[in-house]
Amino acid sequence: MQATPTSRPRSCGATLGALVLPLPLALALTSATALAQPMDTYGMGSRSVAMGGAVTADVEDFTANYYNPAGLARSREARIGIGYFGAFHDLRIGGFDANVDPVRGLVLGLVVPGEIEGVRFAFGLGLHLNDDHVSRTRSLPARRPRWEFYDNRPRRTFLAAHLAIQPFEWLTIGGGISFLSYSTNSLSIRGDLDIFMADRRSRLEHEILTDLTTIRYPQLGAQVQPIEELSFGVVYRGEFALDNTLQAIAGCEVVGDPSCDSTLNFTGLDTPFPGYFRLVSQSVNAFVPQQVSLGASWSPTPDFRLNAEVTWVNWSAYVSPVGRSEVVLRIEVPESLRDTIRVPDAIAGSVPQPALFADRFVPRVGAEGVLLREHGVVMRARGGFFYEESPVPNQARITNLADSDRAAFSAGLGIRLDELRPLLPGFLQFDAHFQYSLLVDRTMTKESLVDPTGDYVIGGHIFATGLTMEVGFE
Amino acid sequence: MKRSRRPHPTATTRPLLLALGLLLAAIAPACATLGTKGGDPEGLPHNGTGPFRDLTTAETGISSPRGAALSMRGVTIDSAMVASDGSLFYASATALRPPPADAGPGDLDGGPPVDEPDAGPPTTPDAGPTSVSFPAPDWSTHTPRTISRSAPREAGERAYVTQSPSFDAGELILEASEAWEGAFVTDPWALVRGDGSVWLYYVAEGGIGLARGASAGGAFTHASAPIIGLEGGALPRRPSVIDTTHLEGASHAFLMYYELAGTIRIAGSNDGETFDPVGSLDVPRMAARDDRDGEELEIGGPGAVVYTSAASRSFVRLYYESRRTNGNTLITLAASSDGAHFEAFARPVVDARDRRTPSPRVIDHRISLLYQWSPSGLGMSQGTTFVGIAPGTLELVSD
Repeated sequence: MQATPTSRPRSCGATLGALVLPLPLALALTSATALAQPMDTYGMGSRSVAMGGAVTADVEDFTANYYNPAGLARSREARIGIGYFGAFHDLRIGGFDANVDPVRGLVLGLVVPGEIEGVRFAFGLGLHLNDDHVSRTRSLPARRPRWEFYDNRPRRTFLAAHLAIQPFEWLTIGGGISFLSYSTNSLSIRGDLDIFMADRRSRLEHEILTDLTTIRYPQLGAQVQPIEELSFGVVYRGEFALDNTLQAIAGCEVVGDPSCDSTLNFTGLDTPFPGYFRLVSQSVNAFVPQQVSLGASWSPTPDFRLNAEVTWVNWSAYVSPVGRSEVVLRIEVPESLRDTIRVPDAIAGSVPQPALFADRFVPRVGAEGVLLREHGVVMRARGGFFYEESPVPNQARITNLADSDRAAFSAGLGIRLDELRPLLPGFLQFDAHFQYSLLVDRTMTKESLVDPTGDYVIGGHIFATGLTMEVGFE
Repeated sequence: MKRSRRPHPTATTRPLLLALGLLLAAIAPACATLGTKGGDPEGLPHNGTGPFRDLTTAETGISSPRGAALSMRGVTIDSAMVASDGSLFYASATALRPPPADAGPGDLDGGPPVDEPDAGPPTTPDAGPTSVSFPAPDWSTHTPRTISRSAPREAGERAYVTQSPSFDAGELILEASEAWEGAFVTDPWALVRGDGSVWLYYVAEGGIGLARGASAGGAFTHASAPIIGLEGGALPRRPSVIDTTHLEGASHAFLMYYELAGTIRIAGSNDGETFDPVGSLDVPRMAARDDRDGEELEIGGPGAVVYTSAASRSFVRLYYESRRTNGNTLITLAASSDGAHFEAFARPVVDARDRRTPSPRVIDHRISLLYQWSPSGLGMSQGTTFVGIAPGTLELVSD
């Protein structure tokens, strides 16, 4: 089996140009566009998640590498952040646990500010490293129900490197390259397969090769702060699709082909006879739609901040993971055995199924207030909310891509220590968050009354929590 | 006034917080990359349409034949169905002697073998060749067929279903006694009413009859005349009746599906006794998967059930036989929201090619059992009832 992934970057030029960032930096980085998935689903960093992810206009820590790279240039300190988070799913399909694995991982990043001839800039790095799987590939049958956005998509490693500048006191812009990992596998089999005692007498050799492939894509953003109390932010996140081509071959297509070294013979009878099997599967295993977030942050007092934003997600471009597959099976059964061993004339494959998702606007709000400010210690409480209307249509036909509307409530606490000399010439900040997501019950109704999957109800809960520590150096 | 000098709380907690931070920084990378085997969304969900897997001996408690729902040595079962209360109603006869070695297959009516001249199986006008024979017991070597009922058995505590899928030998509840019934009664189909009474539809020599009982295990009163008689000289077979209370768009309070001359007819009634013709099952012939399937010659042996989906939609599932030109029989399915217009499943739901008279039982949204007759048995028995389950990946566990 060979797995050949290729990135399918889509030009974002027209869309991007019509939006906000006709900047040299942007032009330099729009050869391909994309966005990482783990943070799309669960957020990055405890402060940002606790505020419902509504931080496009108000982020300057290392999580700006995901939320808005322009925010890196707002930082006055060099920062190193590290955190750990976990998301636990209680997602059900048809009244049964859908076995969606928890997602746990490490997040870390850094922000390094500087200044060149009066122009402030900052360099940032962000990393998301899943606990259980660095990357996971799943190719499920077309009919197999799965939680499309939670089952496999978040299981990617994400690395981002960004650069931001502050050409004016009221403006910061930033962009950079993000990296995603993707695994590829190949499997080849050859040898003798005993048709009567396959587990005891067969002599098969198999070879497995696994690669971890990297793809790159840019992300762009800007922040505008006309007055001290108010800031606005915009970020564009592009689209990418990762083709997943699997090819498994056992045996030789042409019997006696001297160039074929993967002969497969069926044994156990007087005369061995050869067989040939080929599977080709082409699908899109990871698709991330382009997005635009517009946000605002208002701080009427030094002790309170209110954020709001809306994200447009171009789900209508979503490519279904149900792709094309072809299966060829040829077994040269001896004439005397053809009444006993029957080989099907053809094995049906599958054809791509359109996803027919719909574009969505996702509103987000977040608030942050100071609970305590004393002797160099600042304690803040945070809360946030967002609502994602599911872009997935009723699964009336062959596919069963499960998803329902998601309402996410989050809360968090942060403690910042500022007077740490001589232990530390800077600050130390701890943030914790908890997020509860309700995926409201939804009924999928089938068009056909004889559909073997039938109608079913989906719904569930996601519980996520995390802790982040950030150290700032003056 | 002299104030005591105490360290400020934050002065002592800062080093602790710093140490905590460093500890977190050390632990987090260590926790990462601890891989575990991922969960598998296998088998979700399923509405029990089929395909059906024959239950195992461990699941039925019957060792031979494997997958049998009821086994009685020397007794040939003709057809069976499971009512909504879990009772098994079946027609059977005791074998008196082995069938003659040179005897051809008999037909379902107990008449002469179907491969005799002028006695082929009933066919639709365009059904093609009529010389095909389907395995059937030779009833001339049996006592007259009667109808019995087996009460449901409790399943083990750990079982998915509260009632066992298999049965013990039942008690006789109906035998031919009326003139129109002739020598035998067969093809039972029980409709359990809301008050616990049972309407038992059955077949005798004069057509389809109705017997009523105050309860499933009580005495049944015969009809004095058939409710559907012979049509064009052909005997209607295998009545299957549903209550359409939850069926939107149904034309009658009750619908009956029955076999006649190689077709499945539909009749409607508002009192359960007087039926008017509604039409016939009009679905495309089921295509062959390979040359072992043969082509569809005729259909019959209907078994219907009203299924309510997870979306609270109710519709009729009609399982039936697709009889093939090579003498095989495949079980397939059609479904309808009004009970009259059907959509075909177009594929077999049972692997075996000799099963007949399917009778579905819906356990819940997800699980169904399908009882089927097969011309196999123990000793002199020439027919057995088997039971299959869908989804086939589900294993019934019992103590």
